[in-house]
Amino acid sequence: MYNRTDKSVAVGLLVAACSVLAVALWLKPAACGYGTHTQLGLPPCYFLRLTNLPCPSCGLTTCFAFAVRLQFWNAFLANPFGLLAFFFTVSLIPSTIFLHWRRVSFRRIAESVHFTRAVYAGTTLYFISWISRLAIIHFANH
Amino acid sequence: MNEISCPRCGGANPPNVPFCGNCGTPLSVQPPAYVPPPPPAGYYPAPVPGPRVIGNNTKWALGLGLAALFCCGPFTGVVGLFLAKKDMDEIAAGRAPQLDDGWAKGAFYLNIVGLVLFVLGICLFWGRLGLGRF
Repeated sequence: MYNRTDKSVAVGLLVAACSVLAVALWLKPAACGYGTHTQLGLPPCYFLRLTNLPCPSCGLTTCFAFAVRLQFWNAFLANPFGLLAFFFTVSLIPSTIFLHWRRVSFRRIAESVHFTRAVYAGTTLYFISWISRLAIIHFANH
Repeated sequence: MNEISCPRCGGANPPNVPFCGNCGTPLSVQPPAYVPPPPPAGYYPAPVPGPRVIGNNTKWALGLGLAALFCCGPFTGVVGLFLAKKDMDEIAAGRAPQLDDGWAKGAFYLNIVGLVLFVLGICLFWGRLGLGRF
């Protein structure tokens, strides 16, 4: 049963995806590969300041800012997982419109086992992306 | 169709008929045995006796909560909340009684703490910059 909550979720996801892409277009990607989010008034990464190593999320905003300008290689270098997240965000726009048009509840999709597995896979890729970046930094310094 | 034969006259009767159509002898019609419906695909298996275990979603949520505490804030915290809530809902609905509710709640609140600390960090940063009164 497709109710008002389902409609709100679909509209919310659509607005969120469009907003993220609009903000990414508005931001100027940092040349060093991270720190673009500071243009939004957010603090720099404490993990990076403390350890001198990027955290798993470092470079995500920069990646989106590059990807929205179709500079996919630079986006990949900033954060490989971010490029995947960018394509997912872009795909959310037609997906939410389709779900609303076909009156398919997003909550039903979120409750499925396949969705949970996709979340596991995404999380694993997120950390693999981070470990690979740490390895690149390690080998570049030695 | 399984016809029922009358124990007195041996006459054939259709099923679910209380009396023999030939001689009127009561027929012992047994109701069909209750077969529980199969669980929907994707749900946890039936409860098993024994100690409660930590659900897979809860384990992932714990890891993501720790990541949210130390570095990643909302990126892992929101996903961790989703996974922990999923296990909590399964337990509350009685679909996964073998899972430990305490761990699921712990993972849920750990992710909330991670998110709150992230917001608090931003507030402190803005306070230091003089952008707001915190």
